Amino acid sequence: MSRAARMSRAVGSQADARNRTTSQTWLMTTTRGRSDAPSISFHHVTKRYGAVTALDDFSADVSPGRITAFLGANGSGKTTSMRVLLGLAEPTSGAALIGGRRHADVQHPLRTVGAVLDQGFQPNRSARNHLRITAAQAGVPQARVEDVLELVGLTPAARRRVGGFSLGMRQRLALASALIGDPAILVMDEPFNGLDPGGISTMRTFLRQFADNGGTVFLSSHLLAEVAHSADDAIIIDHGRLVTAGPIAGLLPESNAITVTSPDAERLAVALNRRGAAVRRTAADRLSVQHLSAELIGRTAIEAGAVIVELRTAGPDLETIFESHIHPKEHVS
Amino acid sequence: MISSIRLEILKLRTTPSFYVTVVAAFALSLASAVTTVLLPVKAGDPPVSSRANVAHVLTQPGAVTSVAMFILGVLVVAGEYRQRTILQTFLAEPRRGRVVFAKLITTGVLGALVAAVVYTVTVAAVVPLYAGKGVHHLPVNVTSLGLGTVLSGACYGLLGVAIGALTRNTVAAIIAGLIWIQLVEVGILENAVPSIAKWLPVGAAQGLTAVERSSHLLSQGAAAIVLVGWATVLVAAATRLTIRRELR
Repeated sequence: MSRAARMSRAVGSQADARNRTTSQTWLMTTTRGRSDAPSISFHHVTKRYGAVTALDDFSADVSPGRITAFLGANGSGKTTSMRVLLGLAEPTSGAALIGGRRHADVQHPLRTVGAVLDQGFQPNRSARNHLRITAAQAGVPQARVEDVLELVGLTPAARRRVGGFSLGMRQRLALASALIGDPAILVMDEPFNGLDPGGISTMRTFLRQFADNGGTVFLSSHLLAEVAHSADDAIIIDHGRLVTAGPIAGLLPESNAITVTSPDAERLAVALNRRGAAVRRTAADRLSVQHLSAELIGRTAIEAGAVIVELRTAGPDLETIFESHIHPKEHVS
Repeated sequence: MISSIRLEILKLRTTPSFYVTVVAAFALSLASAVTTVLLPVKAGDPPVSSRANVAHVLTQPGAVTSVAMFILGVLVVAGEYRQRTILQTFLAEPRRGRVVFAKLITTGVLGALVAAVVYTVTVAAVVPLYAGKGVHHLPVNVTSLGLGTVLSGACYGLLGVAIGALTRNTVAAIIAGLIWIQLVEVGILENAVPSIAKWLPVGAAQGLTAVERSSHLLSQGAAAIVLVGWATVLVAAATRLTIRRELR
């Protein structure tokens, strides 16, 4: 399907969507084929700032049709990776590619990849004028401005100065800017920041539909619970190095773990270890225990004289995965 | 490139600082010229009908517009860094040299146009005022002064873009520029070492719009070459730095 035809179809579906828009659902996705969507690849990317190594031989792939969460602690190299990918920083070695090309070699960047980074806005410009400029940058018809304004629910505020916008409205405007070129790839740094619960839910739905339509979503977030709800894959980075990557389901190492909260966690961990359990300390007063039943954990605690505040059987969440990969030293066993 | 220039024009049209700068250039130039003609001449100052008085009036548009275009040039580039809209600009056009070039062309042409219009309006305003004072023929080469004014406006727009790109800081660039113009060149170097000052940007601009020739001023042709040379050197440095420097 040609781009013009896809856009026409998209506009049509947005026109239908206008009638369904409510204050709680400000995002409506467009339906289109994305079988030709390119993907993102980091090939042995190293980035040094003087003596500081921000990225150290980092390699990872992001697949189309998937939402890929990019996880790491502050300063782990997430933002640097995204900046290298988008041509805002030059790698010391290696390459970050979008559809097999460096960003600088992509013919129509805004029509290929939409980015939500920490781009600013001219505070005295209206939202509509900001998007008129972005449309011109992307080389798309100005009519697209009204489409994306409607898409993110900012039509009523289109004439208002961006300087008076709330954080959530700015985030929506940033998303509108990213979508204006109808890209097949979205790169988003903390897209849930500033959104209210309704906005987060709508954003999650939008990203899901965008990926289901064949789009590539590559997002970083410190809101692990939100990412867990949204993402299919995860890439975990620490100190500039790839820690692990793959489908989130495949990254769950402890499907039968029991979470134990105890003020005597250290003593209890030793006792549980002697019983043959695999114990990992996830917090000062919290253990993740495998290979031992809840009853035996309780008995062991009594024998060790350890108080148990909470004993919970729960499927591991993304936070657990993240912690287990980033802080493996805290593994007792 | 045409689309990049159109984009820069659209950015300017949707930015209040553009209108403020242009209106300020018009208002200051006209106010200065009109008051000089209408207010009584102070003792010791050249009479209204003198060549020096007319020259003073008709060089005001060049001086005012050049400063205004310098400030606008700074805002066009450093303003984008200050508001971080430069990220979106470079995401849309990874070839940064084209971005800088489009800004240069836009600001340079705009500087020339604004200077031409301000100069023309000022001349049109003062001619009847002079006639009312009995001066029916302006004793200066109006066309030559006008050309110098236009070239100065264009070059100072380019210089503003270059300094804005080099500093990436709006306030620092404007303050440094004004200090250089008013204090370093006009206040110190012109008095202390005029033989050197005439080769500097302000000295060259004065040579462009001077009515009376002296050894302290370059000829109009030489001044044009020197001013364009300064603009070229600074623009080349700014472009190189913009391409090589990373955004954080």
